Amino acid sequence: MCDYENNLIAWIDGELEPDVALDVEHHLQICASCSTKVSQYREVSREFAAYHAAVPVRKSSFPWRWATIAAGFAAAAAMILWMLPLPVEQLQLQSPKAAEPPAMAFETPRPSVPAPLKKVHHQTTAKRNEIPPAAWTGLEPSIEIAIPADAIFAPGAVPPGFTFAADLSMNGDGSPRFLRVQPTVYLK
Amino acid sequence: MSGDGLPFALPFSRFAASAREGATLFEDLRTPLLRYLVSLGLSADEAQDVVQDAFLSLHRSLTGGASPDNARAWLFRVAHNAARNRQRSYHRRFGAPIETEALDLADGSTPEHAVLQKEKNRKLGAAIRTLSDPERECLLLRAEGLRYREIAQVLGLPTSTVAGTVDRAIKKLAEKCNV
Repeated sequence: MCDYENNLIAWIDGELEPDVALDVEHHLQICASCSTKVSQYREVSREFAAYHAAVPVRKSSFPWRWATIAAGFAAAAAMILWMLPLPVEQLQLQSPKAAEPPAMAFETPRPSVPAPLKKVHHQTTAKRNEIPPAAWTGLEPSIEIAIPADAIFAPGAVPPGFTFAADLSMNGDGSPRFLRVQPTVYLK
Repeated sequence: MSGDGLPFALPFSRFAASAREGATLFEDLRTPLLRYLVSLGLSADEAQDVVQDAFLSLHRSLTGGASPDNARAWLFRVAHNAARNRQRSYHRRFGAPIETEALDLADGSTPEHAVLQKEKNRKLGAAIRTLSDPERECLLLRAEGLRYREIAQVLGLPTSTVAGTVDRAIKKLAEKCNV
């Protein structure tokens, strides 16, 4: 057992004071045993790092999580449609504005296929462009329903901070104007 | 929560001369943090959440006027503590047989070599499982390129203890793997 043995790994890591490091370097030139150990420690450090680098950090369940969320969207939309007093078709027949289909059409939530969050964001942005911002600000009668994520999704399926808001906008005569479900992230 | 970017601009001016460098800091540290957390036994999903929270904490801490002098050590420390808090089966995963096909393919040009490599990894995994928590954590942080001083900050230990722990852990692995 050589006196230098407890300094070899710190020397490999460049953690020794310069004078101590120099001393170790001089010793390594004359001590075959310590030189061999340095090679061993370097090799095992390299193998450990390679082993660690091979640890998979990507979500294996990623598509499933978003499939769940997309299914949640559909469920939320179905629930709200069911809560409406009259079927859409009947409303269209009875409404005096029946000649204007766009005003009557429901805007159904789009993400019915599994999509990564990024895409959901894009779609949300696109929706914002389609409907003037005023539609969200309560200029006309509207009902906003906040749905806790845990109520529609499996526990853990939705990252913390996510909620969903269903926005139901009505025309002055009580007929539905549009409905949409939108994910919202709350950053603390 | 795809993890590809942050939904806000980090005030990285204390660490980085420009927003460009700040973005690089995030890119540079994200994967090492994820890897460290998964190695501690968190699932990839949990790790993503913890890393996101760690960067949010850094953001809050900086906007609150605090100025951690080493972002890397600071982030690892926050992530480490968060992992500790949420991890019940703490040392479950790292050292358990993992998919080392990537390793095998990278090195193994022949089937014989692949078999040898697999055997080596099995031995190394078994050796890693014999390490204590602090030993494993020190080696993981060291493998991510942290200095002993930074590892000490992350784990809340004296630097001399880190040096001793790394020394002991490497010697254990070297002995068990017969390299």
